[in-house]
Amino acid sequence: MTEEGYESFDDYVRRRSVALQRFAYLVTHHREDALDCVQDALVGLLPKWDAVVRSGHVDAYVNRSIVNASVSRWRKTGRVTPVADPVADWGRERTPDPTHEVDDADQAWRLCRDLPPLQRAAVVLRFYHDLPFAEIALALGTTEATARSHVFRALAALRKSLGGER
Amino acid sequence: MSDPFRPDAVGPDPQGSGGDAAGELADFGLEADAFRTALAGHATDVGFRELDPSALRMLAEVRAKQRGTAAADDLSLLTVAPVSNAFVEGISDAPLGSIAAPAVVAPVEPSDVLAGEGRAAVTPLRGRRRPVLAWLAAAAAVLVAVPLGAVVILPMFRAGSAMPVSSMAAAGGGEPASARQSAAGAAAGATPAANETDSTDQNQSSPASTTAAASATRTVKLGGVSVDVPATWTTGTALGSDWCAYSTWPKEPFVGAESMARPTASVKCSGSIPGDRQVEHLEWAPATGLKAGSVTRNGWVYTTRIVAKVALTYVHRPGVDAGRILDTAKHH
Repeated sequence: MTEEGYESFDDYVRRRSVALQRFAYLVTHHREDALDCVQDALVGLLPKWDAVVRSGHVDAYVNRSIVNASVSRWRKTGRVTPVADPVADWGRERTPDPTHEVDDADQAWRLCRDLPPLQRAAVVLRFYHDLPFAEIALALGTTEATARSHVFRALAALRKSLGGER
Repeated sequence: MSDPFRPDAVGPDPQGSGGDAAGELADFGLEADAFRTALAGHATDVGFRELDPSALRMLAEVRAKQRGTAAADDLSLLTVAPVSNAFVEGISDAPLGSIAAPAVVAPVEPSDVLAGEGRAAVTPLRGRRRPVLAWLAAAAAVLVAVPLGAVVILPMFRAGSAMPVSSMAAAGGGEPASARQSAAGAAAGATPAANETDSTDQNQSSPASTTAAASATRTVKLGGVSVDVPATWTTGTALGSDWCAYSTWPKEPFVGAESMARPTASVKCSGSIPGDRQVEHLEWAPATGLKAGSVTRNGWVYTTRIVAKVALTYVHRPGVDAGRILDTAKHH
């Protein structure tokens, strides 16, 4: 039994795989990349399960694996500008009678696509998982101050993109 | 990469801008809420399924064998990224080019999370030493192949397109038929969205009559749903809510290449797509959240029909019988 209450690797996969895929999707903005990142992370976790459990930070380890994988993919694809997920965005903006309203949340989501992967991951960990900066730093492999910096820069970028409307 | 478990993990900000971020972050309440709303809203964009632990175990074993060491506790992994079947399941008829091919990747292992436990470097692929004889054989093959190619292949090109179109495609000497069909009038950057089969004879070299050409159809298939559209329709990318960001748009009737990912401009466009930027076309979309029916905007009628899990939207002028396109939709 881990400190986080997981009985085994199988138990961890069953209970966390969907949430991990959602996290990976928010970080990669791509369904297939998300699936691959999580699969790679869990396959990598398996042989080290006991050691990671002893460290007491299974989630942090897997989150870091996913972030690392997304960064790696981002580098290998030549920092291609993230694009809309071909399926997830299908019905969202391409309805026959679109409202054509882009509110702040849409703007935030679009901005997320343009953020560097580490910054994006910091935003997701902060505003989706509501993690404290110390745990964000753990998951990103940075210092707490750098994690704050990532989040701060993303917020500042969003404020700028919103054009100081408020 | 620093070790996050060391006592002094909270150090100075290397980028020099986040040291006093705590106070500054409090000023971004609205932006933080926007991020929260966006992330919460998009987290369920995709319906992920629970992964099978036994499948992961099998994959781990396969990868262990691939890297040549059966030691299960080896921390270094050289993995083969699997082709996820989710996309194939969702759009079984997507073009091959849109499905990522398996690629050998060496993921970065977060070994420092273990605080030095079992730390290991990624095992690099060993380079094979090519013997001198192999180089000589390769050089000899080149010396033979080049003159042979000049004698045999060049006359074929000089003779023109004597080879049938289908043969050229099969031999890899030409572009796919669907690409040729769509290249003529497709919008810039547009790519065929679906498998297409032309109901006309592609090898037919004699000119067909205008009437016959106008009535000819081709079958376009996406997401398990096929639709017959006029053969003259090209493939393009339909304008969306960010229509005002684009200076070009399809000018001729087309089939929407909706399966292709494309950048979405971060702009606000007021109002619906102007009538002069719209053109008759067919769009695919997941049926989720959409209803069948018709709505008219700026002189164009958007007629939507749900077929299985796909919403087909035929954009046409008022008075046009939408059934001539949508009635041909079939679920496979």
